[in-house]
Amino acid sequence: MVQSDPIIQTENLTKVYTSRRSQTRALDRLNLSVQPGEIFGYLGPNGAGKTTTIRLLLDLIRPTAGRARIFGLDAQAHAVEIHRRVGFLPGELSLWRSLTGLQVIRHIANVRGMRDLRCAHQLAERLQLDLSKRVRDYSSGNRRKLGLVIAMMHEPELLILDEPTNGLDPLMQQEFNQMMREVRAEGRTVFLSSHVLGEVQAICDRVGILREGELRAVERVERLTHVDFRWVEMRFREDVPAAWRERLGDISGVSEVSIDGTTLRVRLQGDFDPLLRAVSGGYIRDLRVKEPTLEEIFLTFYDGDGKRAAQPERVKELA
Amino acid sequence: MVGVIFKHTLRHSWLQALYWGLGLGLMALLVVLVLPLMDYNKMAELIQNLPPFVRAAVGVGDDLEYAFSTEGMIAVGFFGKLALIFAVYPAVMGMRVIANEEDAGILDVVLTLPVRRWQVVLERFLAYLATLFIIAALVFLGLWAGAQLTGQALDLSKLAVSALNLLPTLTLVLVFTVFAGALFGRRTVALTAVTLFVVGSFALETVGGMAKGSAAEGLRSLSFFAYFDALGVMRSGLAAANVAVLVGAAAALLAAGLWAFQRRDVGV
Repeated sequence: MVQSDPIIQTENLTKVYTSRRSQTRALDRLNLSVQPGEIFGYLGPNGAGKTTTIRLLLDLIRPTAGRARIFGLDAQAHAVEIHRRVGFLPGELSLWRSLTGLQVIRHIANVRGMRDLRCAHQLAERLQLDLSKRVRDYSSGNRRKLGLVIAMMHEPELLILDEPTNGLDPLMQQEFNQMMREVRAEGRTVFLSSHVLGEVQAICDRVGILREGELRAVERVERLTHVDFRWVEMRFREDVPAAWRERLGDISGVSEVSIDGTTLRVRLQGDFDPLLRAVSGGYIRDLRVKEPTLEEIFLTFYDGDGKRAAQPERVKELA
Repeated sequence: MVGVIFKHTLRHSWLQALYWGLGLGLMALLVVLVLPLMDYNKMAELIQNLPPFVRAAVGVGDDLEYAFSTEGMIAVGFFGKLALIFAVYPAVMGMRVIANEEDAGILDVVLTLPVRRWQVVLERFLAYLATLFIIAALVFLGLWAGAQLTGQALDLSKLAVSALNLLPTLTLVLVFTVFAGALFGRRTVALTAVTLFVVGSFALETVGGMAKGSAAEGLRSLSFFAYFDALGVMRSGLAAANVAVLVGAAAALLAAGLWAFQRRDVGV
């Protein structure tokens, strides 16, 4: 990717929430840079600080230390100018319940000074959203779709989406992915937070991994998702012989062997063939392969302290 | 876009203002309809024999002759006694400016639009302020309709001024509610603060009026109800000093609220 002025840049961005009894460091010295025209996935478990970062970028909350720049403008001093060029979908979208979808869109378009609602209608049609319904009558998925229309209808240079596909059915998730690819093709930028690996795997160029308020890594997505292991579970007709535990443990790439009656579970790295040959004496009734979870991938990349483990090279474009 | 939020808020609140206004106007009408059925002289005699602090608690003060005229009865029985009920409307509407929407998460959407925080608050406040005029107008209409139906010779200009006198007081309650929302963000905390403000003011006014010559009387000046003075306005018209205190306090609180809201974290 050609390096140019970043769309989003944070410098030691820190947020500490202080209450009478305690202090919570929600975000700790975040140094992050998002380039124009990329889809950047911001990954982490719930409570990692993803939403805090987004709220800081959008000037909904103020940093304890450090600063954020969007389009090269200070996020706090130039919030209005930035908001004009940004589309935002909050993680938990709340809107005026008594208004119809169209009324909400009209109001927001008016505030934005938009007169042409064609784009909003096209988006709604694409997402199969009925704009004549009141917000209170929308399902959570439809409310999410309305949020996407609101975020995208002014064709912003930057989309900031907090858990965008929460509540969307698989077909709509596909449609959303396609929309994001189109946004990228137009040279616009997307910053999306998620705790769903599949979501970022499908559309993101790079991924930042956040944990306990700290950015642990930024990786290109193909590196992150090419983690060469999965969980394999086999169910046999008869009980699995206890001796297999040792036998399978000796096979290269097989580890964490567990046996429970007729069920065998292993962690497999590399090819299937050696494993299948080793169990060929048994009659396999069922075989399931499970992709590793985000947390498992994370642990594969990084040890418990968040330091680099022996895996792919860390992309040196953190800051 | 300047004015968009004002228009949106007004479009979606005028109907509720109309309902509130009709309710309060209906109460005004009923009070005026009931007045001819009352024997003022007997009531005055009864009240006259009560100790001054009880008279003060009733809200008639020392000028019994005027208090027991038809206009005086409207001032005391309607504007004075129902002051707490009048204060409910601006408190409910004031909660909608910040606190309700922040609690619900709607502000997250609004404040990420290209509009300044203070502009959102100010335009919404002005819209709800405009609805106070609907309330005052319907209250006056209720009084006027009552006068027409009963044929009582009421000075309509005095009734109009009394209805107009609601505005500074209701504006202050509206502003205080906005201020509490701007300061605390949480609906329950803001609501508690407003309740304390209104009920506390009412208590100070009542106790201060009853305990003349004591320290409590001095505390009365801290109550916004002391500057409402329904009976005095009906008798002598608007008191510029009282209006100035209420409007001045409202302006100061509004400025402080806008300043506080501009600086704090939203939706935390």
